[in-house]
Amino acid sequence: MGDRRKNNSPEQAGFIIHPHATVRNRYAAQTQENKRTPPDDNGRRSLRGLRKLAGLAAGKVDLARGGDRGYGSRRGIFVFSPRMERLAMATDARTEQEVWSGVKDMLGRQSTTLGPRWSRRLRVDPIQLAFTLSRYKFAAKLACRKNRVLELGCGEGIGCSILAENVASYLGVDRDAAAIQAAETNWKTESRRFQADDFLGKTYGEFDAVVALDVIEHISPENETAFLDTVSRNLNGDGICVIGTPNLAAAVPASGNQNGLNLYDPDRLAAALDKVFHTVLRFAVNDEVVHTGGDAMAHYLIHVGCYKRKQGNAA
Amino acid sequence: MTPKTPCAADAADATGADPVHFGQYVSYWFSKTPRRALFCLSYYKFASRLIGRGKRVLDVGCSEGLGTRLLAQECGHAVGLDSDADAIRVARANWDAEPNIDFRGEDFLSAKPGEFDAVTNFDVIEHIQPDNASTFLAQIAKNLKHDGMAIIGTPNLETQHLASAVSRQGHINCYDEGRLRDELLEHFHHVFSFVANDEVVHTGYPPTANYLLIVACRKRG
Repeated sequence: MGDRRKNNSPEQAGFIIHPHATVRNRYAAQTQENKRTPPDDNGRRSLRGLRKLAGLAAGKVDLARGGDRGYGSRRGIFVFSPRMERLAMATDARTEQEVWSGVKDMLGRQSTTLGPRWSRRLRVDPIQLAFTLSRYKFAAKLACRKNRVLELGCGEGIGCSILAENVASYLGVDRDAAAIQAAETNWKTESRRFQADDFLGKTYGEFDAVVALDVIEHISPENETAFLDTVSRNLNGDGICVIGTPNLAAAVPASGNQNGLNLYDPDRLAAALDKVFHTVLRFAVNDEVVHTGGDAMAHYLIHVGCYKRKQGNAA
Repeated sequence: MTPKTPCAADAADATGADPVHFGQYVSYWFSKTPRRALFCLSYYKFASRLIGRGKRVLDVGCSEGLGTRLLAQECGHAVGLDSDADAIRVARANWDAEPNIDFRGEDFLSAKPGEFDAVTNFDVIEHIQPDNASTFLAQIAKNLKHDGMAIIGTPNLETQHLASAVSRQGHINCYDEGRLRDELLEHFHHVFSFVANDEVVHTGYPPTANYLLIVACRKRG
């Protein structure tokens, strides 16, 4: 084993070792964790790993694509001799600040000024940003994998980046013109557009997904049908809708329906969506975790509608 | 903690608040890796719940202070520390008016911020040179009260092959769960390992998690 490693030394091979390998090796040396790996395999893998890591350092190998299978091999570890490790240490003698300035150079200079709603929210209750982004991520994973996304009630567009990450186009509509202005300032691109409009009854196109978080509770009961019709008419035949709203069933009694909100419990929301979709998937949310657990205790509801019913055919 | 319905924040949406500015780092998240903002805030929330209320927290490597603001709000008081002067400038511009939060532009390896109920650091130790890692962990313990709690978050070495080029550029000291646990045990009696996939923190199988969240308490010595 020792001989084999010597033959594979980086001095001979002329490789530069990626810092990760160094670190792992230190740990491996301390714990003898790798003794279960057959020596032959170790030797071969270390050379293959070195080649790969050398390629990585030179920007030639993209690990995310798998490159060769060395990095993700059975134990996911490369083993280097102490000599290799010393060499590796010598190649990365930069200070933390020097390394960090390299990272900063890759980020680019830019800044973002949030609109009044989210500025206020971050000052009053910053944890809400985590919860809100989590709901957007869930909506994006379920519905926003195709071409076109419409967000109804997009506010200042805080969820736009997540919803539009993997789609060709995004349109956010909100009747709050100031919010739309903030959204356009921060997030507008050629494929990410915003529009200040009262969307009730409007058609903006045939979308693959319609997302409306924290919207339906602001719609009065007599407009519920018109709202769901708006969702439906903006979807193509294969379209998916994601509706999120606070859960009445878990609302604090004192604050239940204050502020004139039209809060839904899970069954009422599902029944409403069932009028326009053949299939409704019910999810519940506590804090940042979206789940299929008991929705009586969930703070928030996310219901996903698909296979829309033919319009005018509502049950 | 007082239960809040998500509409509570809506009710508070009065105008007149000073605008919040994101600098280079958070802007990069939102423009290039928008889900990172969620994941990072989720780790901070996890920490804030374990630390509890009425505590003073030191947030090492606070960057633009978004998570520090969360800690201050949920725990009571937070001090953010970062050696990046640009990030500290953004943090101060946003949050300096708040009475329960302070920012310091110092290098933690040589700083003496004081004794805290908790020390958090997320995405920091993987940027520390391996030779300095032991000093870093000792510094964490040194800045804690005897009953203080340390929470260390860092990307998992074992899923680094999925990391972006920008991430890999700065990661010079990635840990797996075992090594971080072992090194923390040199400074603390009790070490609890959690891991995260995306925004979900759990106690599942570490090799398939993308993030480590290690909680350490009862410092030695």
